[in-house]
Amino acid sequence: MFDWLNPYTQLVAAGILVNALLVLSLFVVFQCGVLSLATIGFMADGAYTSSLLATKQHWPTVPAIAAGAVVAAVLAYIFGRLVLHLRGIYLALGTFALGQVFVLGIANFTWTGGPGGIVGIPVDITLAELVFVVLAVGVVFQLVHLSFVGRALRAIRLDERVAAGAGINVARYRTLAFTASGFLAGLAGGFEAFQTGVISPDQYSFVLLVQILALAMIAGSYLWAGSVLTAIAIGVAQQYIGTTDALAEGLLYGGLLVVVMILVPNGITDPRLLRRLTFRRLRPHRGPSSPPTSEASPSGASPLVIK
Amino acid sequence: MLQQTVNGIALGATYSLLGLGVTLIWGVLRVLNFAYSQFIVWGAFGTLIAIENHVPTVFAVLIGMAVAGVVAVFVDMTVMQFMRRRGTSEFALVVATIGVYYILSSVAQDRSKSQIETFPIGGFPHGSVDIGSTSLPSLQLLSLVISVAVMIVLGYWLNRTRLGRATRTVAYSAPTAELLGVNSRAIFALAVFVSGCLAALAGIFNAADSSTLSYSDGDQLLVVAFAVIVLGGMGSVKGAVIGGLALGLVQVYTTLYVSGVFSNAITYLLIVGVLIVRPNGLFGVREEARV
Repeated sequence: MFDWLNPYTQLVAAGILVNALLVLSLFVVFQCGVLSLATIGFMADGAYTSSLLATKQHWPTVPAIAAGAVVAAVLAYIFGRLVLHLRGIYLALGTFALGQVFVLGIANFTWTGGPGGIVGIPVDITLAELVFVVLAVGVVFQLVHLSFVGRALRAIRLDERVAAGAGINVARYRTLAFTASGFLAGLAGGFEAFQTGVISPDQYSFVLLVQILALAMIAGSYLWAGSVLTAIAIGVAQQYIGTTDALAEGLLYGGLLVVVMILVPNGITDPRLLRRLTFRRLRPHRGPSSPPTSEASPSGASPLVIK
Repeated sequence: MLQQTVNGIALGATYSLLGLGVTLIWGVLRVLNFAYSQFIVWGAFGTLIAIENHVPTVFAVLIGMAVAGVVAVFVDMTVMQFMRRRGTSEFALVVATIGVYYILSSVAQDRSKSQIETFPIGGFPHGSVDIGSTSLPSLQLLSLVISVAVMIVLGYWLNRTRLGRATRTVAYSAPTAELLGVNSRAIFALAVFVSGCLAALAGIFNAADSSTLSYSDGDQLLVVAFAVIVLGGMGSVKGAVIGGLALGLVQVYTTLYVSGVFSNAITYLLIVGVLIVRPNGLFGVREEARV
């Protein structure tokens, strides 16, 4: 399907789509207010499970990648139940340590190939398959966004206690989101492994986490499409700027992260920001006494719509 | 066994310094600062460059501490101050420090061309000192002595001086402290400067111990610092000291009885384990959530 692209462009495009999956794996937990830094760990789990199955047990590619994603999801479920009762900073710290435990564990066991990693993974994922998977994930995200589950997740982010008061089982939805995050990260890890054919523990580094986090934060936690588009836009922009230099990359991602956090802490898909950009003149004038609406209603309706 | 315990305490003393730095920022500013890892690195690089320019080692160490302190204050005065004024969420602050971390780290990486540099240890004490049946490298003895001295000074400062009382007041509630005539911005800057100095000191000892310096040295030490404050409880000075010593001993014993490769993994496992069992650390005060 994408044969008209030269191999290098295909490789770059595949890398960008893998990043998009990783950003979605952060998005899914961000949308219910959980700052998870464990994504890279789950990515490593998925990559190693699928690669080991393919190289040692000679599984075909598709079942191997699926198995990697499922294993990552199961690990996320088990450990999510343990750490998700933490709050705020403690949760960020707990998930960060959790992700690192996985990566360090992989680097230190011998049956995983140790620090040397795994070579000779069959390279037989085409760009078309990856595009298909990202689209399929997007469809699922859109269905969830429109469903009760999506509204429940967003309600938890806006106010956990109010959500609980409205009868939403906060712990169960957070665990669900964390499991989905693990699944997507595992999927991304598997695809990445079968794209490049070589994996090693070093590549699941803090720097990768920072880059994905930057993309996810710029995209914000409201629209899943924002995550995908941000990953693609910045990936393409980076190709045109031609930043292979570590300094330029650091300044780009680090600078973006800082600037975005200062200017639009809720990301570019923040409903308030979008409304300000599009409906500013249509909105009736609000007196200084009325409190500003802190967030849009979960259905995303603009204040003009009267039900 | 006794020898290993002594080694563990010496290692733990450096860890306590790291924990004290982070706990100071957390206690006063309520920020979990990922950029701290780069204060460690920049401090050590400051010393390295000073030594390369034939500055005597003692002054080079002071220069390194000053460099890290100034970088820390600069970051706080620009990014953090700005975000605090706008009342951004805890989330956004943590993520912004991760951004700062990445910028600082790539600058350091660029300076050293992604290579590990040799850290000149000619000016540091070498050889070892025998104490009873155990022997301790003089460098570790020095770092132990300095760490203990720093802890005593810090404890005295926070508990016995007027400035320390002001710092604790700001940590408790900055608006109330302002009403009582405390310049909270100056206190913020001071706390951040001191924490940068502590980071640099730990980074310099670490570099001198291995006689190498890499732009990524801070990452491992940052995790250690996090483990220390999780163990000891966030914002607790006593907890940071005891947490540091405990972590040093645990790492040394793990290397001795289990395997050297797990001494890093054990740090992360401790973080997860303690957070699950006792989220406020061993000495932390339970935080009440405001609804």
